[in-house]
Amino acid sequence: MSGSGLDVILIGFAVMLGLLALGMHIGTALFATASLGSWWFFGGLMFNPFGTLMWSTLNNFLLVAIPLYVLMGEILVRGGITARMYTAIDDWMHRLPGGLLHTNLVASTIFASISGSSVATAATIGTVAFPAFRDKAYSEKWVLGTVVSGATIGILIPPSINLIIFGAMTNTSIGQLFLAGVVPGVMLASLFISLVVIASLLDPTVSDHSQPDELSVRLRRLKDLLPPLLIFIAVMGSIYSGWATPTEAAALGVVAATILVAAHGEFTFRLLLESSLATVRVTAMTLLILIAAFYLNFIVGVMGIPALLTNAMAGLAIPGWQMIALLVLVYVTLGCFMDSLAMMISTTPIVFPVVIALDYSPLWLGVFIVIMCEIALITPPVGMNIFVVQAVRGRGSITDVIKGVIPFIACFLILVILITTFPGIVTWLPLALQ
Amino acid sequence: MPSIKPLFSLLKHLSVGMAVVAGLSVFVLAFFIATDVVARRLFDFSLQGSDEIGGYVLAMIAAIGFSYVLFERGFTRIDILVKIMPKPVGSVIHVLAYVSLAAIAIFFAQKAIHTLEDTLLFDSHSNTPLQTPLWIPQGIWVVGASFFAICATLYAFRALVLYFTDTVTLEAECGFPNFVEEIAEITELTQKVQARSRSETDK
Repeated sequence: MSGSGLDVILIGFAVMLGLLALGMHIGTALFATASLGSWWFFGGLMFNPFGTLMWSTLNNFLLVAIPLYVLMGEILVRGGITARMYTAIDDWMHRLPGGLLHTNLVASTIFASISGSSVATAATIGTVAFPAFRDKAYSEKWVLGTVVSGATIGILIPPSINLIIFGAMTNTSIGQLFLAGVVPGVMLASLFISLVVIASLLDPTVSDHSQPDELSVRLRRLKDLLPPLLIFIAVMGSIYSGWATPTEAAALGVVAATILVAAHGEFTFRLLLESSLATVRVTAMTLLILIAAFYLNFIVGVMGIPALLTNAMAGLAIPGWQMIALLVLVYVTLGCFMDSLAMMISTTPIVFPVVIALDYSPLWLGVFIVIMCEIALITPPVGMNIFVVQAVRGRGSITDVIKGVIPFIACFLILVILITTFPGIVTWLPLALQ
Repeated sequence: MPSIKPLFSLLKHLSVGMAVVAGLSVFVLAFFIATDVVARRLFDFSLQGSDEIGGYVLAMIAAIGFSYVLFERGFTRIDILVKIMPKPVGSVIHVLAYVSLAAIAIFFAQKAIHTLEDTLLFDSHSNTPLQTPLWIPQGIWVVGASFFAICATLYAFRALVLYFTDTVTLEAECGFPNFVEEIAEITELTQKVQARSRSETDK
């Protein structure tokens, strides 16, 4: 490779962003970029292994976890497990200053972590939550903000499809990545809750108060919290007891979800058909991007870019935190315009060697990138969750939703500062349970 | 283009049917793997090869699912810039997006066929206790990939024709999908469950 390799990276990235901005399919944009690099530097040579590479990507047992977790989530959502959860959570959360707002956050967190889809979470919680707030004097901005932001936490708390993809792309243990996401995920939820508490104390118009139902009713409703708990135990418990790999745990999750939904008498053939189709849709959509991404990864590798970046980083005398700050800036900017999954997949091959050269662990990077994806989900103009919540709301202006989200973006930035200063927040749990 | 329409609709229905089979096989796979995990742990007995079969199922979902996602317009595109461009430019971009997707689909299919040819030539088997003759899973993969190539080519061709004849339909079939419907579905579902759950608690 001639000239400065960094030029090549910049040109490649510019081509990819250009194609994406032009509205090409994400898989097309990634594949075209990889092919251009491949053809420019190696002629037709590096197209030869593509078939085998595609087969090994598709035939990867780690990635089998994707359809299984998607199916588990679909069965739980369509079986109505989540819709029941909301009131049960509210029974116990609403004493905190901020009341129902906390219910939004906690319900979204639990729901998103088991459903794996922040779109489904935002839509479901929005549907349940908006009527619950009717006739109550909550600030609408905060109601919207809590639903939109709460739905993002799920991709950090296991099982997380983003972390599975990151693990498969970088050969990082998915079980360890799942554990690494737990503490930052819980911290983020706590930051959100603290934000709501502080806001409600400072400004009484933020929230309202209502009388709780009598204790016996609340206790009876507790049973609605059992299904999500059981799913979490089936999945995470089987991984960490050594019973199952993350993919096998996903299969156990599907079985557990089926049994729970069937126990409610909601498991119909129609539900099975619809869940199956949705699973194929999400999986095939993701895999087209992944095939392109693994090829890009391969080309970047044979071009020697990782080694080049590592050397460049060694020569660069800037402290690690400045590099991370720069990355945050780049990711937040990209996230305003890009789909979060595409952003993660397309940047990982380049960012991985850089951050590893700074002595951060792969686990840390996985969590960091997923946090960046979460920010991308809620930053206008292309924050998916914002659109979804606005669509469920079905009235008013999208600006209200955006205004509601802004305070929560600050929580994300606080979390990033915390994990950058104390990387142990991420790595502690995986190390402790090793 | 009256002649292309029936073919188009046939392929569309075929893609849904194939996707249903692929989706149901994920469900079956989950029970197969779960049985293996439990049997291994409790009875010290393994069904063998659930991981290998899982890999084949994934390859099948991808190959077969691609054409389904195509017709559902489920492959993600970023709409921010295109939306603010003048309509005629947007139409050109929609055509370009589907033509380039078709090009990639053809390339994928071609490479998949080459891989299968090598497998047949060397009579390759999987390097596992199952010793699966690889032409079986790869054959399904090639069928799916070829079907995707055919559908994508036809889709691109239709986009091109629509560009010259009917840009309104072009926008509807090759533009950015509207996810309001999907959300309406979730909303309706959620409200039903909630009503049921309320009546249970009140009992």
